[in-house]
Order: sequence, then structure tokens, then C-alpha cells
Amino acid sequence: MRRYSLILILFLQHRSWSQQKDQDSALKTVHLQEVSIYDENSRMNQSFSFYRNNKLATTEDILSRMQGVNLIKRGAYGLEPTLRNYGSGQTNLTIDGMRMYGACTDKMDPVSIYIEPNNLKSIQVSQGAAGALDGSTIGGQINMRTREPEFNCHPIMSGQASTSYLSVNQGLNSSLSLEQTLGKVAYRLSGTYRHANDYKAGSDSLIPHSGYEKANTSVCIVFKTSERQNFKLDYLGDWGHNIGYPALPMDVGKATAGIYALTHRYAIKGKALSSNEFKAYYNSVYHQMDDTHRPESPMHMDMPGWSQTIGAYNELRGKHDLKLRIDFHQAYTKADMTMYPKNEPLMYLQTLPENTLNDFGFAAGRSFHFKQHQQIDLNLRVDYFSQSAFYGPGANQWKVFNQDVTQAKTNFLKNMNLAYSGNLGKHTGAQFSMGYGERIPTSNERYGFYLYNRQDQFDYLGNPDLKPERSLQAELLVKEQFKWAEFSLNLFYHHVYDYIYAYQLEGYSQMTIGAKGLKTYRNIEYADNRGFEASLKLNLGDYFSYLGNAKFVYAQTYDGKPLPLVPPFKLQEALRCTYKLYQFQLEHDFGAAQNRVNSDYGDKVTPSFNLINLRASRNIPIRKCILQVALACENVFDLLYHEHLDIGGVPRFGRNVLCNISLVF
Amino acid sequence: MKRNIQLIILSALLIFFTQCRKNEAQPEPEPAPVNPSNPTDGMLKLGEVYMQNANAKAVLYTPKDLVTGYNTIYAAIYDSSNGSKLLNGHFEVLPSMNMGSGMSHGCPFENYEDSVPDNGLFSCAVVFSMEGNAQQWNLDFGFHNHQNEKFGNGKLGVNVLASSPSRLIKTVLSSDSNSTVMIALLQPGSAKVGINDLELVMYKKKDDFSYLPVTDYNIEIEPNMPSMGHGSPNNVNPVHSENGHYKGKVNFTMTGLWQIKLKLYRNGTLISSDQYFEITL
Repeated sequence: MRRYSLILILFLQHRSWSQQKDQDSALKTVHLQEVSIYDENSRMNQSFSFYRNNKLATTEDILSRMQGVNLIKRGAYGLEPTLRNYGSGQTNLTIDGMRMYGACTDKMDPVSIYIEPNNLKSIQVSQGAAGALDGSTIGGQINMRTREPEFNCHPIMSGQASTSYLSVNQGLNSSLSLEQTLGKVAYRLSGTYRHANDYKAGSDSLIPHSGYEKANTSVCIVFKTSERQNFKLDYLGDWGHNIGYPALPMDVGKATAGIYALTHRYAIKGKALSSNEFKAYYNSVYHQMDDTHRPESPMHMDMPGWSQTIGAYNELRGKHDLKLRIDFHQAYTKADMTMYPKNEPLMYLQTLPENTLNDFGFAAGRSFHFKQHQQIDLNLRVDYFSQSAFYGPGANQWKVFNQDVTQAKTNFLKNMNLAYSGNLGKHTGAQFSMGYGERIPTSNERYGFYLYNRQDQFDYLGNPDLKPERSLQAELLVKEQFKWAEFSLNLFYHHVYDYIYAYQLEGYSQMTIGAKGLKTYRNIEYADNRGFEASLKLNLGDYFSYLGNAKFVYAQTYDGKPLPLVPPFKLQEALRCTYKLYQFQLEHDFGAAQNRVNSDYGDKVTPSFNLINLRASRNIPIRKCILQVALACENVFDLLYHEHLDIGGVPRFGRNVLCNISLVF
Repeated sequence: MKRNIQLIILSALLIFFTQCRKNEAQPEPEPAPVNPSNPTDGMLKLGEVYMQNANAKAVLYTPKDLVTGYNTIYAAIYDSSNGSKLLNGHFEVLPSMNMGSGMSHGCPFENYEDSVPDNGLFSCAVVFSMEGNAQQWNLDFGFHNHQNEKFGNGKLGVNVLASSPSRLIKTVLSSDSNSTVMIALLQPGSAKVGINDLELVMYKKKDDFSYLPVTDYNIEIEPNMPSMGHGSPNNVNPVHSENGHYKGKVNFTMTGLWQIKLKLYRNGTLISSDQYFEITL
């Protein structure tokens, strides 16, 4: 029944949309333009456009340099983006607005791994409740937008071919993208292949189990049915193979993902900036952990995971940044484990019982303009979530804890963000925002069954009775802009009620061999997050430019305990020299020591480090093509270091010489 | 055109949402109830015994092969002259094992007071203490026919297989005056992941032919997976209910080989802690 009512709702919504179109069809045609409330050159994207130029950067490299973004590292591949210190359950990581869930209970497969740089158009980062328009959140949203073909009047194929080599792990990254317009159809194809051996950390130490291999492909076809509307078909496939995770007791043998989407876009005529977008999508992930390369593993086990999400949204945009959005998604996740003891029957359990999450959401946002460039932005979102496990082995396991996990847990979530911005002077602008956000517990937090956490070496049991986290937030952004310089400072304070926090279940034994015990989650009274992000951009004459980003988070529970995995102060700066077709870049990263750690969680003190990278590139025009040659040396002084969010303190890349050749045609 | 677009979108939607996974999952079917018209459906026929003096014939059934440990035996009893079913009387069993060279012994057994059987089937239980063939194990079935107030009996040789994994513990408890004790596992019969009823029955040997139910022990259980070294939470220690039966709950968190370790206490003193049952899920 639920399924039918959904179709009805979407159908009704669609009807109202088409009526609107009827009224407009009498007016003359205008060109369809993609309307985005995010400006590519806005504050959040400054770092993106700066570092994006670098052909050697992976999506993760770019992410790590964006304001407020930190990465939890478990291997050379598959870094989990966090916003400030909000992890994957507290933030929404989306691709073109689509929801997608990792299939790995160890968070080895954040959604960001599916977007290769040659397919990445932009990354939109919205912090806190300001990022709740596309989904309830307390931490914010990272939306990765993929590239799509641009319509051309000539059917000439254009594209880009690129290949890079990394000395640190004999890594080879090759990619190719092609696009072409054929009348009313334009398509874009892209493919990437990456192969890497185990990498060397500083001081020549080889990190075992850190190699990987993967292929990625995407197809995007746009059909223009009229000047005002088009259809877009997207497919993205990703295949990983033998991906090493040195920080974890197992690697990934095989990981496959498929993303399918159909989008209809329509520019509402006569109304500037008004458009409607409807998207239906499906994505699935299969993930298989592998211990066959780990001789120390006490018993062979298979640990596959599955995730499937289906969803649709309709988004209407109008002037004054008006955005009305209705959406639905349903996610199915499951992870199980089969163990093969010697001379004994095999053992099976579902570490994440089969479960589904259903979400209906409605969001509205607009801005109000006042005199003297004053502006108020208001975002509202409500979500209705229903989550339950299926009847079956997983639900039976849970009976042991006298829990019927097949009973649906429903939550009604509310999010709001109100931002006031105005000018404080000729060169100074300020924005003050207040927000309220909520997020539901993740399926791991609700239904996880003895999930092993390498960090504190405890097994984790979900808690189906968890309440959503609720967060009150205040942010202040001050921005100064001169011809030669741009400075911004963002201060934030987030007060999270019912913060989901792990504690040990006394009297219960662990399941994983070698684990220390059993933990579960509960809602604690509150936790506080505060900190700042600052950036400075300087244009030093005709040739030099400088970009510096600093970020800091201070987070603790109501009783003064530091939260786990809080990134320490970090400064990332780059000095760039552009001379004719040459570009040189000197980068300096400073990570402060983190001495405020949560030892219950296995957090360890992390020392500070200073890192120097050098990059150089040259563009060589050849007829109508551009050949770009890039060379880089990362970690010039071969420093043995790790960052605080590197699980298990596994050292990062040592000195790494990279070279890249790309041809843009 | 407009209509076409609508149709395309609608059909795409339909395709997508019919792909939705089994979000309306069905509960697991309950085990099929015993067919009241034919309660011996699916049981094994053990044999027939003619109990001449009571003018009765017993047809004997067991749910499974007889094994070492606790076995319930069902009897459909008929009037041997007219073949009508007898539904009032006392049915009993007396097991004996012929060891050869004149040696024989019994084993624990249970007979019930109730003279009106459930589903028309009389029952008794035998805790076979060892495996043996039909020449060795002898079950002497008796029936007190309330129709004619006469008692008769007849014998049946049965094959008893070794239960695997064993559902019977035989041990001598030195700290309880060197008594020979038998503990049989009744429940779980076929264990499942989740909560399982646990039922044990415990006897102490009085002499070769008589065993007395043990009613004054405290039993603690500790399920354990030997190859992983972990247990399971929230078990309920079995407590004595009646006639040596102890009932509790045992939980299994996954499939595989489990051991249920038993700690036996009497008057607060630990008598034994090294006995266990094995269960494979």
C-alpha cells in the first residue's frame, strides 16, 4: 500500500508541474539553463576551483582541501569525508542530489569513491543545518556534481585523455573522457582505470595491504526535446578489486557499484531563473571483504555487504533562490559473515540484519532581500523516516536481546536554517545564521550486530531504541574582500542534544576473536562542537597567488570528554606562480598535534607535522589541442607521519613523485 | 509531446518502484500444527506390541530414530478384539539392556499419571544410556485398560543409535558422594538462531534398574562457540520444574557449533563445571 501511495503522491506532484508548463507554453522559448543556488566561485568552492586545476589531484585530494572537510583514512583508497567532526551518519554525501549508502559496515566505501576527477564538475559543501535542503542532517551536505555534455553546434568530438604515474606505489591512473553533440542529443563518456601497489610511507617503510585496482566508467546522455526542456540519462559503474586497507583486519576483495538516473529538466518560460527538475534514480553497491591476504587472520571468513537505494525527487526553483523540493528514497542494506572453522560446521550471522529505510521529505527555501544588500535566507525541511529490519536470520539474532527489530521505527525530523547577511563596510560582509537540524540513527547504530571496530577493538551492538540527534547551531561568517585579497572567517557553535555515543555493555562478551568486549550506543545529554574555518586568498602581482585555509574543531561531551576522531588544527596553504603557460605551486600543510583524545574510543595522541609539496605544470598548445604536462613531488622531505583521523595511525605516503600527461582535445 | 513526457516519466517511475525490494516482508510461517485427525503423521513406526491380558494392542511411534538421551515414545492403543481405539487407561514402559552373560541394567524413564491421552496418543519417555540393537534394548510396555480394568504387557526390542552430537551426559560426580548422574537434553530439539527453550532432565542412579530424578541442583549454563571463544548474552539458567526437569532459555547469536557448558551446584557448592552439550545450528 505504501508503494502505491508513493506513486500517487509523485504523480500528483508531477501533474501540478505540467499544469504550470501549460500556462507557460504560450510564451516564447528561452534557453534552458541549469540553475544552481550554489555559485561555483562561492566561498565553499574557492578551494575547489583552486585545486581542481591540478590534474594530479584525486577527488579525495580536492575534498581534503575544502573548507571544513576532513577525511578519515583507512587505506590508500576510500577515504571517508567528514564535515568538521561530523561523520558519515551525521552528514549527507550525495551524488547529483542522489542518496546512496555504503555497503560496508566498516565504512570502507564512502560514496565519494565513485566520482573520479575527470567526471567531477563541482563539489558543493554546505555546513550544518544549512545543508539540510536535500536531506535531514546536523553536519551538512557534500554534494558531488558529475559532468555532463555541453551542447555544441558542431558534431565534433572533444574530450580529454590523461595518464599519471605515482612513484610511491607504482600507481598508474589513466582516464579518458569523450563528448559529442549529435543534433538534439549530446553524450559524454568517461572511463578511469587505477592500479597501485603497496605504498611506501616516509623513511622507506612499506605499508603492506595498501595496493588496489579499480575501474570506473560513466555515461551521460542528454536528449534535448525543446530549447526549454531536456532529459538526462546517467549511468555510472565502478569496479574495485583487491583493495587493501592496512588500518583494518581485512581488505576488500571485490566492490562493485552501479548508479542509474533519469532526470527531466524544464525551464519555466518567462520566469527568469525558474526551472523544474525531476529525477528518479537507483543505485546498488556490493562489497566483499577479503582476509585471504592476511595470514594472521585466525579463521577464514566471507563478509559481503549489500546496499540498494531507490529514490526520486522533484525540485522547483524560482527567483529569490526559491527552492521547493519533494523527495523519497528507500534504502536496503545488509551485511553478513560466514566463517569457516577447521573441521567444524560453518558459522553464519548477519552483522547488519537486512533492513530498509524509507524517507519522505519536503523542503522549501528562499531568500528575502532588503535594502543595502541585506538578505535573509530561510531553509526548512521535514522528513518522515521509517526503518525496520526484515524477518529472517538477522531479526532472529536480535531476539536474543529481547528486541523485535522488525517493528518499524518511525521518526519525524525537522530542520531549519535562518541566515542574515549584510555589509559591515565597503569591503566587509557578514552572515549570521541560526539553525536547527536532526538526523536519524544509521542502520549500523540501530541494527548492527557485533560490528567490530578496529579503533577501540570493541564489538558494537546497535540500539534500535536510539532517538534522533538534534542540533542547535549558530554560525558567524565575516568576509573581507579587496582587489588583491580576500579573507574569510567562519565561527561556529553546534550544540547537539541526544548525541549518539558509545559505551561498554558490562557483563556481555565480545564475538570477534581478540576483541575487548561489547559496546552499544545511547543518546547522551548533549555534545558541543565549536571551531572555525578561515581562508586567505592573495593576488600578489600578475604572477603569484596565495591560498591559505585553516580549520579547527573543538568538540566534547556534556561532561567534558573529548569526542573521538576530532581533527586538530590544520593549515593548508599554497603559493602559486603562473607564468605564461607554466604553473608552479608550493604547498605547505601543517597539522597540529591532537592531545585531546577520547581514549575510551581508542583515540591516540597524534603528533604535529609539516608537509611540503611541489607541483609544476605546463600547457603546450598543439593545433587545437592542449597538452598538459605536470610534475609533482609530494612530501618532499619524506616525512613519516600520520594525521589524527588515520585509523590505526597508519603512516601516510612518503616522498611521492608524480607525473601526469593529459591531452585536452 | 507533453503527454508523452508524462508517460515516459510515469513508466520510469513504475519501473523503479516495482523494483523496490521486499519491503513488505512476511513473517516466518509458524511450524505446521499437528494434524489432529492423524497425529502420527511424519513419525516413525517403532513396532506393535500385543498386551494379551489387557486385551489391547499398542502401535508405537517416535518422532525420530531412538538415540542415546531423552526419547518420547507415543502409543496408539487399540482393543485387540474389535480394533476400536482405547482412550482411557495407564500406559507405561520399563526399559532394560541385555549386556550378555546374564548382565542387564535399565535406564531412566518417565511414565505419566494421566489416563486420558492427548490427541488419542499415550506417551512415555526413555532416557537411553547407551547405544544398542534390538536384541539388547528391550522395552516392556504395559497397559492398564480402564475399560476392562485389566493389566497386560508385551515386549519390543528396539535399535538405539548414538546421538551425535551427544544429547546425554553420563558422569560420576565425586563431590556428590560419587553418584552416577545422567543429564539429558530435551530442548532445544532443533536449535535456531535467537532464543531457544532449554530443557534438561537429570537423574541419579540408585541401582542398576532405578534412577531417581534430581530436584535439588542449581544449574548455570554458559553457551560458547569453541572455535571463536565467545558466548551469547541474556541466557536464562534452567531451574527445576518437576521430576528432574530443569527449564530455562538458551540463546544463539549465529549458526555453527555451540557448546552449552553446565555448572552444577548443590546446596551452594560447585559440584561440576566441565560438562557440556554440543549443538550444531
